[in-house]
Amino acid sequence: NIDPESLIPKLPSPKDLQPFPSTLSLTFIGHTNRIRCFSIDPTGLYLLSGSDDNTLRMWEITTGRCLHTWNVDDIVHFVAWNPNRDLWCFAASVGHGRVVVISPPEACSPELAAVTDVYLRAGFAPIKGSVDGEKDKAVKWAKPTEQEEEDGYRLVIQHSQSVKQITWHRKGDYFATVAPDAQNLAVLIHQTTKHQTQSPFKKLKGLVQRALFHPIKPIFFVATQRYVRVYNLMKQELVKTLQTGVKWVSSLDIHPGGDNVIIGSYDKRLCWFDMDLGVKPYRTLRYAIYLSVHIPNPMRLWIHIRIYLCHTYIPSYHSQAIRQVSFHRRYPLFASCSDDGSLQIFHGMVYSDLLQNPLIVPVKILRGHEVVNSLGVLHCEFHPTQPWIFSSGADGSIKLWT
Amino acid sequence: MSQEEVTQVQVRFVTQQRKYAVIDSAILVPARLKRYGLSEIVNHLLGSENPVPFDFLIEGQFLRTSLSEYLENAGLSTENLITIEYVESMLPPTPMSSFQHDDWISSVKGFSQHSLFLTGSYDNYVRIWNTSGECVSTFRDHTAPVKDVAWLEVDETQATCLSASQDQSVLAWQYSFSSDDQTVLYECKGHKASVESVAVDPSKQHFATASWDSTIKIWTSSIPTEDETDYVEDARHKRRKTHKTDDRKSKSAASTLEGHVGPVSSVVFDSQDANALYSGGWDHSVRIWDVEQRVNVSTKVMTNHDVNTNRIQNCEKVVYGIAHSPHSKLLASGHADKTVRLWDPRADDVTVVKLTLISHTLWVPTVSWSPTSAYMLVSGSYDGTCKLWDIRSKAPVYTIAAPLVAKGEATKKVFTVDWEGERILSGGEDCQLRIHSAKM
Ligand SMILES: [Mg+2]
Repeated sequence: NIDPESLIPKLPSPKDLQPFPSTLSLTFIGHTNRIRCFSIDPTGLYLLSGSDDNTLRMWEITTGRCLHTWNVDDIVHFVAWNPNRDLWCFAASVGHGRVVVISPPEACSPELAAVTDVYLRAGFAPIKGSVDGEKDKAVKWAKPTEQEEEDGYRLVIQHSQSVKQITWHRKGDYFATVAPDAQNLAVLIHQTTKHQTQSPFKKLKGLVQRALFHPIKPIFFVATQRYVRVYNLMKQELVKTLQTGVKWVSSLDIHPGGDNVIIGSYDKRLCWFDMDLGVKPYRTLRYAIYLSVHIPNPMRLWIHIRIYLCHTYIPSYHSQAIRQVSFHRRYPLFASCSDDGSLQIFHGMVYSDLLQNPLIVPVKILRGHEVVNSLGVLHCEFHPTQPWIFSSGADGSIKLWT
Repeated sequence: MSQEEVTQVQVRFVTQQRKYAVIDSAILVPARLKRYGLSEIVNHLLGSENPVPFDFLIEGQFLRTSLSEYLENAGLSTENLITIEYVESMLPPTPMSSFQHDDWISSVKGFSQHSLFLTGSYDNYVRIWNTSGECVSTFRDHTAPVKDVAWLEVDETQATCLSASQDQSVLAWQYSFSSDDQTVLYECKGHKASVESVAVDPSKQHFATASWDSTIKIWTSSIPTEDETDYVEDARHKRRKTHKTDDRKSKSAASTLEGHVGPVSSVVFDSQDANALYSGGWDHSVRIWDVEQRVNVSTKVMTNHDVNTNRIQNCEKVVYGIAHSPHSKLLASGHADKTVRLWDPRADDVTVVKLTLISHTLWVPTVSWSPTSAYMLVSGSYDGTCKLWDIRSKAPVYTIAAPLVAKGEATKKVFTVDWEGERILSGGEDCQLRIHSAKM
């Protein structure tokens, strides 16, 4: 005669897992349309956002001051700061396949500006003996116009299809772009210093959603609708295929240690993979409405069994599509944001002890964004050094939660 | 008559303000009395023609209830003799004037002897104002928002000022009242990120700057005779500087203090000791520096002492503004968790936070001590208010409320306060330099 309650593992209380973001502190006001993307500079002092109002904006995080606005004449799909602190530039995807690299005139010393300019412009020098005119060039590298140069533009890379994501390698020379509609050229890797583009995959199965570099090793992750494929870039081989079990992956992030992966899906689920524990999710977090009502005892036992089978039903989890999942780089935190207008914050502790599995505890739900035409919170990202998270939404605002 | 109304309690009135001293003896007063009733009694004892409003302290805490409620909460009976200290109440701060700026105000410093105000703004300009609300001088040499300003020296004929900017420079410049001339004395070069704070030592021989590049630099205030740093072509800002209007010299730092991990928000000298410097930053620490030895004497990482587990926790809060009181010798710091904390820099204990003041509803970027009282300070917050605190009480004494904003509009953040002379100056997102009288 076992009390089913005793079978459910005891989780620590959120208040013992501080710090984590819990209140709205700042709202960045200025954009006039939905904000699909933003990125925080590696020092954690400036934020860059891209909106459907055809502008890119750079903000001072401590005050919410907009320091610079770039009018780009089309919607902005994605922005990503170069993670190398010795360089001062970001990449942005605008409209139909235009990727620009910009070095903002603001907040940059003359020395840093000079180093960045040399770095970005090196590739324009003609290389001796190089043969121009490879067969079918996937992209075209070009110089910005003089007027664009004044505004900080340094490189323009024209793709054949809309680029939905940009992701930098940690050293800041290579970055990958994801253009889901470009078939076998959906994932391209660009080298900033040489102005060269490689297509690392001869054939790509499925519609590519996201891609990421491993934080330490030469490993590359490609998420399609249902799978996350893990490639070794040095050996040019597929290492493993993670089976998400979801219908449509929307987002992907990798734990700073590199051995744990989370994905979010349009069908409202979040999967956590511990790569030591195989190719199936270690945990799948999903919404469960019936847990909010009284549950007869046999049902509790059933829930327990479901937890055992790696599904954790959370009564208050996202009720609409998940748009983004994100790990904190320093604190044991991860988050998801959704079209239901909320952000959910979790404690996610990864242990160095191989026998101890990750600990996942929901700690906070943050609400504040308005849902506009069924679109809610479109992007979320943690601050690089503080236990803070930013979110942007269809309501045209960016919020900082601390 | 109900029982409570006739209950009396034996009290002794004492004060440190000599002019209001009464004969030290125990007297019986009704236990139902609050501040106002006690004030009437003391005025009666003084025989004052014009009653002075008083506040009352028991065991160093302000009496905010009736005496009987106090006794009940403290677990005391009416049999006890209660010693009550009284102090003259501070009058509520009253708005005097406000001066419109073209952009957000990041910093303000007053100079009451000459009735001048110095402001730094996000329009890259530094301005000197007089009490009539006239902008006496506008200094336009920065190429990015001005983050902090300080007076170096002011006399009848001229004012020497320092301004720190996001353009990574600090400029020292002089304005002559008689000739209306403005000259840049020198440009301090060396910071690699926005310079957020500048503070002058009490001897005016040195000043310190804090930057987001995680360093603090110490500079001498002497005017260099030749360029001390190499000239680096600033290609980005070339078009803004069409001609070199002055023959300014560049100055390099006398020393660089390294220790903060991440941006430094604020730096302030000890009001009496030009060799002691305090700083606060994004690494959740308040640091104490020995300027001459160039060492980090002590680091106070903000902690929460959990009495249940006897554990010291880093409470992970960014430090913004800090201020040092010449009277109480305490440091006050404003934080991203809406609080103001008080520290004793002389204490060795890590649980050094003496008091946490909680009332603001958003970040507190700025604090300033009263120039005359050991107990009073003012804080400014992103919630749009400035609050006056008497550290003998946990609740703010007065709140200077923000002007109402239109519905749906965010509150206008306060970025800077300065309690100078008998005035409280504040500025922020609403582009108004606000001046309140604060008479003690
Ligand atoms: Mg493991």
